[in-house]
Amino acid sequence: MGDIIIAVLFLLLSLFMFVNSNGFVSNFDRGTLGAAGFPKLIAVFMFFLSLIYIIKYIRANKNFNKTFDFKSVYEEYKFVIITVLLFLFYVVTMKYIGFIISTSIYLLASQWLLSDRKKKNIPIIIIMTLFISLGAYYFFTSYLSVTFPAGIFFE
Amino acid sequence: MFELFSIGFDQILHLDIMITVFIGVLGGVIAGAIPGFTITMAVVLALPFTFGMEPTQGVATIMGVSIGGLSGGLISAALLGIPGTPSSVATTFDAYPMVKNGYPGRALSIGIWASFFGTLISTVALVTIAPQVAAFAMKIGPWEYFSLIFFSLTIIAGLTGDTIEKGLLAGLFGLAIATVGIDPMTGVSRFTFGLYFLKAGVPFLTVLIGMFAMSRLLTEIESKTLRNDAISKGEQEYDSKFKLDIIDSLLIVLKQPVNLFRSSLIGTFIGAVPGAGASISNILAYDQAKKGSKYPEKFGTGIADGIIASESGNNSTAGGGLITTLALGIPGDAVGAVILSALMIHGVTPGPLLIRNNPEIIGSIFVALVIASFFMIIIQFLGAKVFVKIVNIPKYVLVPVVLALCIIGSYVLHNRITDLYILLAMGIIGYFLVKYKYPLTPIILGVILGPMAEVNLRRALITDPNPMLFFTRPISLFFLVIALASVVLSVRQGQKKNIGKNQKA
Repeated sequence: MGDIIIAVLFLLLSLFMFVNSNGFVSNFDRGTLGAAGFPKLIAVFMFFLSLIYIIKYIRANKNFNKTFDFKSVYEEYKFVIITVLLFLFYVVTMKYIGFIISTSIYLLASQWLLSDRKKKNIPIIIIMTLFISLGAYYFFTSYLSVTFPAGIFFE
Repeated sequence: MFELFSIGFDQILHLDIMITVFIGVLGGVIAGAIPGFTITMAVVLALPFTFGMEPTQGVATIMGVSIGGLSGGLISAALLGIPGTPSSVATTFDAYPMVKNGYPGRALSIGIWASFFGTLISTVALVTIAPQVAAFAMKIGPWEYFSLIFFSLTIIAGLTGDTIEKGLLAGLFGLAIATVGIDPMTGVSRFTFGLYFLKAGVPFLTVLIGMFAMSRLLTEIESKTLRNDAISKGEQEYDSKFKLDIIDSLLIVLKQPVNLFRSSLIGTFIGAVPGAGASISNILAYDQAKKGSKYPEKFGTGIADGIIASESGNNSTAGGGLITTLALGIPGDAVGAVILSALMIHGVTPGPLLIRNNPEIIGSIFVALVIASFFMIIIQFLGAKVFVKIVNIPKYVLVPVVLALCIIGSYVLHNRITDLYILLAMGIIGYFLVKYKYPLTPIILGVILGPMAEVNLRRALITDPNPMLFFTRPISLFFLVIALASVVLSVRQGQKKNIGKNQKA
């Protein structure tokens, strides 16, 4: 099922690219390929390839009515979902609470949630959290003079 | 050629550079040894740490990581029978049985020596071939360059995908990503949707980190993968008090010069072909060694020949991949793409002019390969026993930590939080694409080659609006014909596969 969804998305992307390219006009490129030419070329190829794929797929799998069981999908992918959500939380909060705190929270939370209830190695979790959040901060700020978001607590 | 080497030695033989190369090799070996941590990931994540260095030092360090990574996969492949990276799949065929037969030290030592000689042989090939390729590339025009890139992208699509359509779609998706931002020739904004941060385009490294590191990590924590890990961990059994026999195994390796050279040349060649990296060369080298052997039936029972073929095959890919990366600016695989971007970040433009304009960079890359392979032996022989323990690092520590490094690496590049959203998007897209068997390498090469392809195509048409020139200029036609041939070949192979499947069913 996912196969066909991805192919349809590619098809839509190609249509969108083609139509959207019409807006790329400049005075410099009269008579040549211009800014729109290359994206349109990509779009045309993408359109036909995804169309071929969709047709082939439908021919090969005439009856694809798979049942979708939310619970089993969640069981299989729960850590992936948790990780993505934590990642999003991490990036969103970084601006407000600063790099060190958000990194620490993220690392603690995700190591905690991904590990088995019984087999948590708490010292390692804490050491890695501090090592990465503080270590990376000091390495990049002092050595490369990168400025990380400081957050409201340190401003 | 020798001048390049002497310039290179001049550049590299400084204590600070040697130290960072050493650290690079060490990091690479460790990353290569951890299952689920690929060489590409290691190289990508090492890159931000080199931003502050001089170009030669930065590039040399990255070379160290890649050489270390290529040989690090050996440890888990031999001792646990799990390839630490896809590049050491064939190593498990003979190294693991040898360990089970009671010779863990010998299996490791043979692999280390084979990796070492593989790197050296491919470096020699690189040094001899790269300048010729560059000289050739200087003579060709935008038509040929465009056709060459077109050829590279189609061959990658054919080699890496589940089916050719998926490979080509992935490549086109990469090209599409590359068109976001300001048009290089006219300054028109394309696909920016009024978002200011998209004007600079989608940063290549963010795509790379998202696709190759983040999506991989997400796959690693699916319940299915975690269950399989638990099973394979239960099977670990080897005598942990083994001794490495350094001298004996060196003699064993040197007694097989034909195997060593054949495998290294296969690796070098595969490295130079766009799209086919170490994950293919080790298997191909193993296969050829088996076919060329007087006793093919012994392969798979734990003989030295198999380990030598696989390990020299995968390590020699490094030198081969650099031929096209340095001389043409067209990377052979994802690792090559990172090295290419490492060069660009340090202000060096890869391509035919590089050897003439920046001999010090080229020289130091050559020398770095040699030095890194010496460091690799030292690190492997001293540390193999320690690295085995690192292999068991739990996933719940590994994945969050490496993800945090991904985020830090992407942020450090431009100091923009918006890049992190792009990273997340790329990670999720990559995850789903891999799930449905779309290859990621064509995407990366599409992103990196897209602007080059477009500029050359448009330059060709500005010089002469006649598009037929692509087909009438002989070299250009040649590339287009083999591109077409590679597509036709992949389609036919795909059909054969399908017929085979139906018959089995």
